[in-house]
Amino acid sequence: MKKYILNSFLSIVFLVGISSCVKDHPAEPPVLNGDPTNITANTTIKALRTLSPKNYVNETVIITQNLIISAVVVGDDRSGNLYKQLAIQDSTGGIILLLGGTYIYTQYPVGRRLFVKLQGMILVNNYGIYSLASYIDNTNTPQGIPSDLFGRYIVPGAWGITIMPKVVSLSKLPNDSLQAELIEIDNVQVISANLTHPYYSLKYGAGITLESCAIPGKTAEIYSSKYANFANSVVPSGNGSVVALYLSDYYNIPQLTVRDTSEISLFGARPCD
Amino acid sequence: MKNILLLSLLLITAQLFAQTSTIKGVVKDDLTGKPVIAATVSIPGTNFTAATDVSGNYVIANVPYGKYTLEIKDDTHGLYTQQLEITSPETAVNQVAMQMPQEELKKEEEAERQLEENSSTSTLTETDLQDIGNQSAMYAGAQRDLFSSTAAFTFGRASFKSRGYGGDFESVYLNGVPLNDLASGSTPSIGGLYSIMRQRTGIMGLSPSENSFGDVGGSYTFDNRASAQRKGLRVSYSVADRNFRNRILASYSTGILKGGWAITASFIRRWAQQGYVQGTFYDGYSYYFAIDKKFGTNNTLSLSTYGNPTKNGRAVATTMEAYNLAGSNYYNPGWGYQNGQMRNANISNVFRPSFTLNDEWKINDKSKLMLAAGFSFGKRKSSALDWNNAQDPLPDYYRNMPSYTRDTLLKAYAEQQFKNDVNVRQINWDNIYNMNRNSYDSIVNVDGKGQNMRINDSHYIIGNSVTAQKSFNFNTTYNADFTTHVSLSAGLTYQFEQVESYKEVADLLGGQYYLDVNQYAQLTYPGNDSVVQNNLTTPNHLVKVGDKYSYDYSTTTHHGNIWVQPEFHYKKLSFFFAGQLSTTAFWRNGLFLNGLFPTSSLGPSSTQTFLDYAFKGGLNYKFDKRNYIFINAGYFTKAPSINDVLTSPDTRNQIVSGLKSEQIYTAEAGYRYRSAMINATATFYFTQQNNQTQTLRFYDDDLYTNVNYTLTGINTMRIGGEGAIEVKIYKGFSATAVASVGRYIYTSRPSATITEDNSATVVGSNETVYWKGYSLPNMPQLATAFGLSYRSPQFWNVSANINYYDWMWISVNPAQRSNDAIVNVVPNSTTWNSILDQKRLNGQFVMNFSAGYSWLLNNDFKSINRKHRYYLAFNLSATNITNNTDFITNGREQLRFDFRAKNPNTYPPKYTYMYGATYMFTVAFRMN
Repeated sequence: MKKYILNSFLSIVFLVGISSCVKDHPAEPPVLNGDPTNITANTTIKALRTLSPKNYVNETVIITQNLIISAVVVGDDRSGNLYKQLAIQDSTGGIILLLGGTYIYTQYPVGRRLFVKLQGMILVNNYGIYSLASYIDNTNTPQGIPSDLFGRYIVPGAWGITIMPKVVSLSKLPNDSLQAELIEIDNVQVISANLTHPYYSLKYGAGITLESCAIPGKTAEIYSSKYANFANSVVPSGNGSVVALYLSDYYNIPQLTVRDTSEISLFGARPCD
Repeated sequence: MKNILLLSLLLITAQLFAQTSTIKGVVKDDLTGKPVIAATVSIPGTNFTAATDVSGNYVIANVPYGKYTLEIKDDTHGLYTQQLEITSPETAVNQVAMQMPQEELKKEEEAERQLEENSSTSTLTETDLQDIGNQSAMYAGAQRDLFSSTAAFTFGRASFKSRGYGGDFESVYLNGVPLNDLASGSTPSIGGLYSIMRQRTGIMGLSPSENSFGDVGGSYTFDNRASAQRKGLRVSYSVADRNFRNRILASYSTGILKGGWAITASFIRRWAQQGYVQGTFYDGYSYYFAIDKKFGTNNTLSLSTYGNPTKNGRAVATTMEAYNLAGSNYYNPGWGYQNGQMRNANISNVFRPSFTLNDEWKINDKSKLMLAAGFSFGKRKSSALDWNNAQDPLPDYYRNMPSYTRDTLLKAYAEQQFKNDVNVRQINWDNIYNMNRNSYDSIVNVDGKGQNMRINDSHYIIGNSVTAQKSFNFNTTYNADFTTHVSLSAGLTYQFEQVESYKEVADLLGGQYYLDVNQYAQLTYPGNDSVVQNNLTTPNHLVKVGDKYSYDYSTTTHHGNIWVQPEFHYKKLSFFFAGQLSTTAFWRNGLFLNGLFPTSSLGPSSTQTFLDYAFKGGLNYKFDKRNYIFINAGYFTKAPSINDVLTSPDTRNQIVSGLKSEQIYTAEAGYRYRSAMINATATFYFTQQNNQTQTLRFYDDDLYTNVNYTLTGINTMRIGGEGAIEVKIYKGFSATAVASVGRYIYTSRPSATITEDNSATVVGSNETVYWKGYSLPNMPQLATAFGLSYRSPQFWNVSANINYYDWMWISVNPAQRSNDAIVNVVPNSTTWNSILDQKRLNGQFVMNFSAGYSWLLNNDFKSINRKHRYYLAFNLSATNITNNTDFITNGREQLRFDFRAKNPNTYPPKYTYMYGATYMFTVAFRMN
């Protein structure tokens, strides 16, 4: 009797004790890289712009229809040059998407497709420069999507989509329809007055002027943020091509912004000095 | 208590008879063979009575020749009688071997269960308790004192701290070896080894202990040596719904064998796939193995080893907003789904094997010498998400919370989403893997070897904060009874401790490398390649799983002390004095050459040395057998701990200037009453602790850096009273009432030295922190309990108690009590008050119930071998049976303050709640 009780108790205790293992953490999730199947675009960026055709200061239109665009990120905040915004582009055009978060590039980097559900968002039209905002704050400033609500408006898809820059002649700029698109301008150089300047400096201001060697007198401005990680780098001094995002124009001078200094290939001789 | 009984011995009526005799004898425990101390030996119907001494010996003189019945009585063993016939001038009584009655075994079992319960129902795990230095809860029940045992059992769960003291006010010894860590003041977890920790002595407050000088709050001494263990086997299984859900225990002790050997082995496993809080788990093993050898009659050599490898997924505190939105006070933002299964980011993994070697030498009947040495080593790892150039991914990060959104409609969406979408409310691991797998960077001059690489580097990783500790302790104590009135205890201790602290990559979460640079310095000094390096000897270091990163340094502490304590015992009065002299030396040794601090990060810092002393003394007056009073006072100076004096330990050797030892003045006075019906105690205490040093650290994401507040000149005062009364109402019924009422406050305005990990400039020095008058946080300063219990002669018992806790405040952020916080704020306006007020928590009621039955199998199964006693014991305990889920046991203001908006709610406090209703049921088999 005694042995029976003892043995059965011991066996139960140890069977239970040994047979149970505590899982530390689960297996890695499967690699996902593709577009979601349950969402498709039903409009384009170009069509979106027609919702606010006139050019006013900060005209805002609340998008009430169930509109969805599919666009690829062409400019992100990795370098710090863009802040709380992305440049996204589809086959019809580009637009700035305002987002209330930092380090957005970790989830929506250049090359990732985003489906943006526009219902409830705000189309901001500032003299023909369009952006997508989430709300207008009490200082009348358009604000981006709060970081905890990204998922409500943005359905991300495939990573690593290569968008080739549109080769554009400086003579075709400014051109509002290229806004927020990735462009390449060939045969340009930094004007000699800006040669030793960094991309951003307090002393010289934010702009670097590019001049075209093909069309004398035609220029464009490169704007950089002081928070860009290349802000202190000195601009290259040669001739060549520049890949950048087209922003807008300022008194007819095209305004560009750089994604990464590796796309400023100005290393040739300066033929047009 | 013991000393009084011990030395109030020999009350002899001096009657002259023609022929009298002196009776001599010894009383020992049947099972352990240990002397039974302070047992009363008497001859009923006469005035002849005596008490046994430390060796179990007693003497009764002048007993007339004749036939008697000798009665031997003791609190734990009960009554034993022996027939005696005295016919010669010297009568040697046979050695009396007293057996523990079943009743007493029950009590022990219950004490053990309560210990276990405390550790399993606390919202804080043992590792947390260790973090906050709450020894009382860990070692509850070490005292036999009515107040402290009752209080610690029931109050421990509510973060109650006896007299408002922390772990650094209590010294703990195991097999003669000091356990307190020098750097943290806390003690390593004993990991549920409660079944072997029965031989314990707890000294509350300043009363004298023969094992150590003690500390302001007292001392705990555990004698776990194999020869101190009760002979027998114990196997049990418990099921619960607390930190762990299952527990198995097996423990065997041989008792003292022929040849003087004794062996004890104990093993425990506690585990839960999910604990009380969602996302938590527990997987802990504990072992204890000890072997003793008696040499001759005078020497016992003991060797023991123990450890408790434990891994547990922890719950983290969060804000009221998050608890409310999640709809549960047990919301835990620290886990999320990975591949459809739960994963916790905050895992602690601890293993610190310890070894003790001990020799007890009974020099003679009057004196003994104990020599003990201990060695322990091991690591403690706490994991958490870490990231580089990425946003805080935790769901309760303030910028990820709905309240961060200013727009009303969007805020409502965000709240809806937080409530309904588990991937928003919890960590989204799949998304983190996705981001890491698609993260590519070009790294120049990888590891400083000149090579450039384009690699897949993780934005987010799991990093372990590791402390790897080595400690060596040596301790000796000497005890002697010089005369029946004078005894002496003295001791010498040396402790060495080295702790290496570093971060270690635990999981790259889908990426292939992690770039070890200081992302915050990157923001402060863009483009400067050298300042961003955490370790300049391997710049742009790409780390993989198991590699050290971020910081690496060690601290070394040496501590030695010598103490002496004479005690004087007279019939009614006893008194003692004690003095201690100690010395402490410590330094930091940097192991990484930090890019921001190339001249002060690597190699040893200056050595800080302190010479400290302490005195205490007290007296004890016994009015009669039932009443006595005591009064004790002490003065201590104490060296600060190295963890509190380094302004920025992760980055550099800098030590706060003007360091001094703290000073403590303390006094206590109490009254005890004990009769057959009533057992009562009341104590009043006062403690003033001046000139404390403390370092508080936090990450400021506006400044992108860790900010350190080193506070010097912190003074605190603790004053109050504690009391307990137990009344035996009728037969097995008894009622207990316990109360602790105190006021624990800051009594000075400390001065803050503020440094940033990312800047060599001291951001603030000698900044006044307006803490004077605030309450010491996170402990009920008022705690009361009322309990009823019934103990049946049929070996079952039930008990229930109701507790009320109040006077609880949350911690105060020094930045928020500074001049900068209130500049331009209208005095006494709502804003002013909201900034300065200390939040008080609501008082709470808690009810508990327990029941047990112990079945002596020998009674029902006659075939059982009579050599042993076999028991099956059943125990059920139910805590917080009214399921009170609103009890906040811990509230911490974040250490940041929104100086621009002057809004204390920008970074709201974080809270932890006591568990609701829980149970634990145990079946134990026992063979003695």
